[in-house]
Amino acid sequence: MISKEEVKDIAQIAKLKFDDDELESFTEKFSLVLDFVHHINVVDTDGVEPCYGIGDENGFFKEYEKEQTLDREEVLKNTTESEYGYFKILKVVE
Amino acid sequence: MDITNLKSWELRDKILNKEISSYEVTEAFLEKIDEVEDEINAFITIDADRALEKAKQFDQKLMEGEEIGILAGLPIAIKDNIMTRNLRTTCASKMLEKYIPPYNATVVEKITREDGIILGKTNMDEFAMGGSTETSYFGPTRNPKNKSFVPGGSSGGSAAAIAAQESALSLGTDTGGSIRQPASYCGVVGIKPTYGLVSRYGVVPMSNSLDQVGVFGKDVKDAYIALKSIVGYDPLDATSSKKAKLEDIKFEEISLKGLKIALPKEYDELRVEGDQEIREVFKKSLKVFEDNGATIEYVSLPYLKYALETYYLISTAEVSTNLSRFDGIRYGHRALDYNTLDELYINSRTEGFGEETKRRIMMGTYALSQGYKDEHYKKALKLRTLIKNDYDRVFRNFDIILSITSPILPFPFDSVINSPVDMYKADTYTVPVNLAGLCAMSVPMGEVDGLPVGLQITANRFEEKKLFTAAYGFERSAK
Repeated sequence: MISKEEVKDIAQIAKLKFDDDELESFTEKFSLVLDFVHHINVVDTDGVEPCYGIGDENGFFKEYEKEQTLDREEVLKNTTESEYGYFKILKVVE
Repeated sequence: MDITNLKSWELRDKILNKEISSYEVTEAFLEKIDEVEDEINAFITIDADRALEKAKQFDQKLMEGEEIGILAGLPIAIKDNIMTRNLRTTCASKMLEKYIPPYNATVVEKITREDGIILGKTNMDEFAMGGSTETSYFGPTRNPKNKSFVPGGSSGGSAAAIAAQESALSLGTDTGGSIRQPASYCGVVGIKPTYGLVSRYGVVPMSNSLDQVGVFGKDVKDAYIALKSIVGYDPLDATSSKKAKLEDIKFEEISLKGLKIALPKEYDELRVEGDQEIREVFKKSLKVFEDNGATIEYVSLPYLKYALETYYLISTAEVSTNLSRFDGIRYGHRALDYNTLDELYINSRTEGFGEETKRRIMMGTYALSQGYKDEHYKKALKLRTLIKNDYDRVFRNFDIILSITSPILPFPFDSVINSPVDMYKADTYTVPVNLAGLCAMSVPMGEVDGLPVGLQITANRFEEKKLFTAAYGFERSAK
């Protein structure tokens, strides 16, 4: 069983937050999910290569060419705040 | 006559023979949407005006004798995690409630080039995580076969749109069963193609190594037309394959004679409570194959038993990294209340994501965290190799594998959703296919208690032709 403190620690890494009243029910369901995935620990996988993806074709380098890029105005339409053609956030360096 | 009853291949013939125009077809489906959408909720966004305009342009093109694409003016609905330029794309999340993509996914470009008419964007589980479409920020979709039940998920809107005759064809995405399971629950055909057959460029990623775009149709030939329109190598997607092609298929020449079918005996150990009646329908379906000259043998895939756990570790690890792009800055929901940059991230993400999405981000973060990474994530990747090897061995001697699509029937709202592990178990038969990058299709095989159940046909990578052979042979004979 995972503790509420551990859940809070993981949430911090994931940039999420749980209120105290949410935390109880989340921790409970989260524990069930973790118990469930632990089943695979019984399998002996010594010497087996990990499979990161299925494709067996080698990657390749693209020719360097200037490709069409997205329109700046259109891209900025999806942000909350922009200024002088840039995304605007709060000041992080004094 | 209600033309929304017709199969897409029938409508296509009528459009090409000029018996009916694409405009009339599009109008008929839009009328159907008006009529049933309040109850079904298959769509998040409907793009009626633009669809009619495009249909008109297509009819003009046909009149002038120009070359016509395979979709020939057929209406098609697109799952809302596939980017459509200037048309809102939400992933059914509050996070992207107002997101207007500045570009099209490659599949959307292809559909346009092949003369498909995009009707709108379909409902789904938030960020494609779920098996019931109940985690959508825009409310659940209802199963057209029985409105008290879920349509399955995550591509529940795309499946329901076909079953309710709101669209001729639709696109979905499938990471662990998100096309096949809703196809089964709504009584339509759904295909998850081989990994790399269809471009993922412009598709909001959930788990890169497992996600694949696929299609829904009323029957096997409908699904073939839809799939044919989107396959192909795409230099914009590094995981798309140069082998990506779908051969022409002569459906009238299809025969099941000599087809070699494998049945994994491990499925008998993976039974869940209440699957007895679904298995009875499955047995009858096997008989259809045998009666038509196919041979069936039991095989062993010993690592199948661990597929579900393996899937949830790998997919959530990829989910947690993929969804870290949502920072509230460049696009997506931004919290109003924050004092530091960290608070901006945390508050925006906490407000923007729903419960299941958070659970999977948390699980992936945990699986990848220092101290657990080898025990969980690495272990799962090794199991993925073993599962893939199992399939490779079977496909050396067999054409297809048959199973049920889902071990449970469509369920009522607000039931299974409260138990995440039970919801995950509904994916028992579908997730191994994604882990091994294979292709699979769900075709209707009958009903239990008045609810549709699907037969899952699986074939080796890039063997879609065998899927169509088996599925069409079955569909034709089972009638």
